[in-house]
Amino acid sequence: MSISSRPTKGRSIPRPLRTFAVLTGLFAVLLGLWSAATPLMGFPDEPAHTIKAAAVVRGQVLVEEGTSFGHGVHVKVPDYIANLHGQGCYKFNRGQAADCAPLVYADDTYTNIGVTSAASYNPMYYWLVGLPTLIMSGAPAIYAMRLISALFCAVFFAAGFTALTELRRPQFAVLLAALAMTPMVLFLGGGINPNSMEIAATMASFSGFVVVLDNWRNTKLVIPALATVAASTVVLANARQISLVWLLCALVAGVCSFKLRRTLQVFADKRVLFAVGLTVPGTLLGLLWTWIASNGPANVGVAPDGIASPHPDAPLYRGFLIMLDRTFDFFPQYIGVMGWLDTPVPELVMLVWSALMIAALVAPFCIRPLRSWTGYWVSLAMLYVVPALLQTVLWRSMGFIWQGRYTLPLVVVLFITVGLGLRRLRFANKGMAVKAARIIFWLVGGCHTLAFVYVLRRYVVGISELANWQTLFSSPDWQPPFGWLLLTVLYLGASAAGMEILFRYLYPGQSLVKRVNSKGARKDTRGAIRGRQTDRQPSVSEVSAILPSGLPNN
Amino acid sequence: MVQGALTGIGGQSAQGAVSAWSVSWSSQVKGASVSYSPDGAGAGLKAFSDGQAHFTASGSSVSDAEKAAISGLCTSAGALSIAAGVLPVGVAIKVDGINDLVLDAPTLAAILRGDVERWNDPKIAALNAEQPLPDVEIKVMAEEGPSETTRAVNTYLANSPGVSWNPLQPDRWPKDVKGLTGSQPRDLANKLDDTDGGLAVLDGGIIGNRFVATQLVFDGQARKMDAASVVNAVAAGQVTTTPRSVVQALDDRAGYGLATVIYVNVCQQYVEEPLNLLTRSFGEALLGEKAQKDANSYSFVMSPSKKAISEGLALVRTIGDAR
Repeated sequence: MSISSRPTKGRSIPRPLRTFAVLTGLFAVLLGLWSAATPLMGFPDEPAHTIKAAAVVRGQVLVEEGTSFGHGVHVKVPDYIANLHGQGCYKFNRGQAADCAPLVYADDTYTNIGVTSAASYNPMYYWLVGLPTLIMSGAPAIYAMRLISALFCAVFFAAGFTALTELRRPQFAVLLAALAMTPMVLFLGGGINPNSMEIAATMASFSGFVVVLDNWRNTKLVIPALATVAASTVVLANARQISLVWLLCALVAGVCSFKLRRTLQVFADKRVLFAVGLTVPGTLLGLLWTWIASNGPANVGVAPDGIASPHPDAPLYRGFLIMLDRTFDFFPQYIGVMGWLDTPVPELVMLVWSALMIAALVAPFCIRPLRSWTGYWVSLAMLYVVPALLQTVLWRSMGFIWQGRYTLPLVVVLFITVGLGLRRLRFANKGMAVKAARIIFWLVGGCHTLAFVYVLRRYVVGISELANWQTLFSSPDWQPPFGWLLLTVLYLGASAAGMEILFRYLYPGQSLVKRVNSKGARKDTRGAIRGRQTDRQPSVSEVSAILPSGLPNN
Repeated sequence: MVQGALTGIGGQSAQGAVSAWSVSWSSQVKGASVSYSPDGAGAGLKAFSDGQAHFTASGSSVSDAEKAAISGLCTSAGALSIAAGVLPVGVAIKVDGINDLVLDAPTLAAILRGDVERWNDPKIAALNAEQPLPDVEIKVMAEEGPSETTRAVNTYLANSPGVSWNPLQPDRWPKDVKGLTGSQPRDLANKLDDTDGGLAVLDGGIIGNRFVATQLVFDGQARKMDAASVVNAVAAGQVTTTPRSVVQALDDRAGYGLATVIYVNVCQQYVEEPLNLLTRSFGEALLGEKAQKDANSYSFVMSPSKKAISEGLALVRTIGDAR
C-alpha cells in the first residue's frame, strides 16, 4: 500500500481529526514521560501551583480577606498538599539526588494551611488540574494532576500542529513549529504550572489564526482551525493575566504575517464572526478575573527576601534597559534549563538547537524582499520589547523576576512566522536535502532523548563533576515510577516516532529508518511536488495517510 | 513520625532567627519545614488568632490573659509564649572618619528629634572628648513602623532618667522624630550606606560589620554592641516563668541592654493532633544547641539564658497536653 496515495474517501473520521488524535497521543506520551521522570515538585514553582489547584477545586477560588501575607496566600488543603514546599531539598543543587525528599503519604489528609504565591491566577486551569485530589491522595494524586495538565497541553500542541498542516505549502511552518518544541517546552508540559498551557494555547491560537488568514477566501475549508482559534483563545484568556498579552501578541503577529486587506476580509466572514462571538464571553471572563484579582484583599505584608527583591525607588527605565541587555541571556532557557533552573541540558543539545534556531532566525535576513517578512520583524521586536516592558512594570514591586520560560509563547510564535515567510521557497524534498534532513532529524531526536536522560541522571544520582553515567546503573539513589531506564527507552521510542512522523510528512515516501524503494519514492515525490507547485492545500492523504500508518509499507 | 510544614507570621526582627532555626530543624528532621512571613508582630498575632498561622514570632511577650483567649488552630487550652532568642538593636551611623562614637539616651533622643543637628554638636562632643567630629549634618532615617527595633529603643529612652519620651504606640516612633520613612529595614540600610552623616536604628543582624554601631550609655557606662556584652546582659537578666510563658529580661547594668527578645507563640494544644507533634519537634529544635548557634552565626541572634532555655524546653514539651 502506498503511503501517500492511501484513499480517504469513505472514511468515517475526517483527516484533521485523525491527525489531531495521533498528535495528541504523541504529545501526551512525551509530556507524560516528563511528568513521570521528574520528582514531585521538581518543576519550577510547582508547589505553589499544586496548592492553588487543590484549593480551587475545594471552592477557594477568590482570595479571602485576612489570608494574604507577604510570602503568599494561605489556603486550606489536605496536609500532604500543604507540605509540598518541603519536597524541595534538591532544588538549586544539581549535585543532590531527589532521594532527599520526604515521602508523600496518602493518609496525610487532615486539613492544614498551604501557602501559595499563585493565588491571584485565573482558576480555570487549576480547577481542572486539581480534580484528582478530590478522589485520590498522596503521590498518585499529584502524578494524576500532572498527567491531566500534560494531556491538556498535548491537546493544544496537537491542535496547533494540525492547524498548521492546513496551510497552503505548510512544510516550513510545520518544520519550524517542530523546532520550537524544544526540550524545555516538553519538560514544562509535564509539570503543574499554567506556563505550559500558555505556551501550548498560544501556539494553537496563532497557528489556527494564520491558517484562517491563509484561507481567507474560503474559511469553510478550515473550520477545524477556526475551532482551534476559538478554543485556544478562550483557554489562553483564562490561563493567567499575562496570557492576555501573549494572545494580543499572537493576534498582532498573525495580522502582520498577511496583508491587512486579508485580515479585514476574514473578519467580515460569517464563520469567523461566529467563532469570534464564541470567544468573546471567554475573553471577557479572563478580563473580569484580571479585574477581580487586582482588586482583591490587600496583602498585610511585603514579600520576604528570596520571594521578591523590590526596588521601590529605582528608576523604571533602568529595569527596562537591564531587561533589554539580558534578552539573549534567556536563550538557553528557551532550549533547556530544567528543574528549578538548576539543570541546563548538555552542551551538545544546546549547540544543536542554538545552531538550528540561529539558522532559522537569520534566514529572513537573507531572503528578499525584507518587507515581506513583516510578521517576523514584528514578532522579533515583540520578543525583545514585550518582556522588557512587563518586567519594567514589576521592577519596583518584585525586582528582577523574569525567566526565559515566561517568554516561550512568543518564541514559538516567532519561529512559526519564520516558517510562514519561508513558504515562498520551494521545500526541497529530494537528493541531498533529504539526506541532510535525515541526519539532522536523527540528531534532534537524539538530543531530545539525551536531554531527557540527562535530567533523569540529575535526579537519580545528581550531576557531579565526574562523569557518573555508570552510577545510574550501579547505584541509583532515587528512581522515578517505573524506573529511569524504562522511561528513557519509552522516551526514545516516542521521540523517534515523533521524528518519523514529521519526516514522513515533510518527505513523502521517505523514512528516517530506511528508504523506501526507488520506484515508490519517485512516485511519491512527484505527487508531493506536484501538490506544492500548484499551490494547493496539501491533499488529505498527504498528511493523514502517513500519520496513522505508523510504519513504511514497501 | 514527625513530618510536615509549619507556617508562621510575625515580626521582621525574627526573620533571620526563624530562618536559621528552620534550616537547623529541617536538617535534623527529614520532611520538616517552616514557611515564615515577616509581616509584623501585630499581623502575626492576628493571623495566629485567626487560624492563619501555626505560630507567630514577635519582640514582645503576649500577656497570659491574651494567650488563654487565643483560638485559631488551638483548642480552648490557648497558647504558649517562649523566649527563643535575643537580637541586639543598635544605632548605626555612617560618618566619614568616625569609627567609634558614644551616645547617651538624652543625646540620642535629641538627635532623633532634630534638636541636635550636626555631628560636631557640643552635646556629642562632650561624650566623645578624644574623637574629632566633622561639621556634617546629621541625617536621621527612621522606619515608620510598627517595628520591634523601634520598640526596643522607645523602651530604652523612656526608661532613661532625664529623657521625656512618650510614643503613642510602643512600637512606633513619637511623631516629632525626624526622617520617618516607609522603607523596610534593609532598604533603610541601603540608604544609610549612601548617606554621609546618616543615622538609623537597625537590628544587629543588619548592622553586622557594615556600619559603625555607636556605644550607648547604660547605667552611666558606655557599652559596645558586641556579642559578649549582650550575653552578659542576658545572663544577668531575670527569667520569669508562668504556666504559659518564659519571659527573658536583660540587665543593662551587666552589659549592652538594647535588644529585642524574640518570643515564639505556639498553641498549647492544636486541634489537629499531628500538629502537636510537629510543633513540639520544632520547639525542641529551635531551643537546641545547634539551632541557637546557627541563629547566632547567621543572624547575630543571641541565645536566651540557660535558665530560659531549660524552662522553655520544659514548656515546649507540654505542647499537646490538654489543660
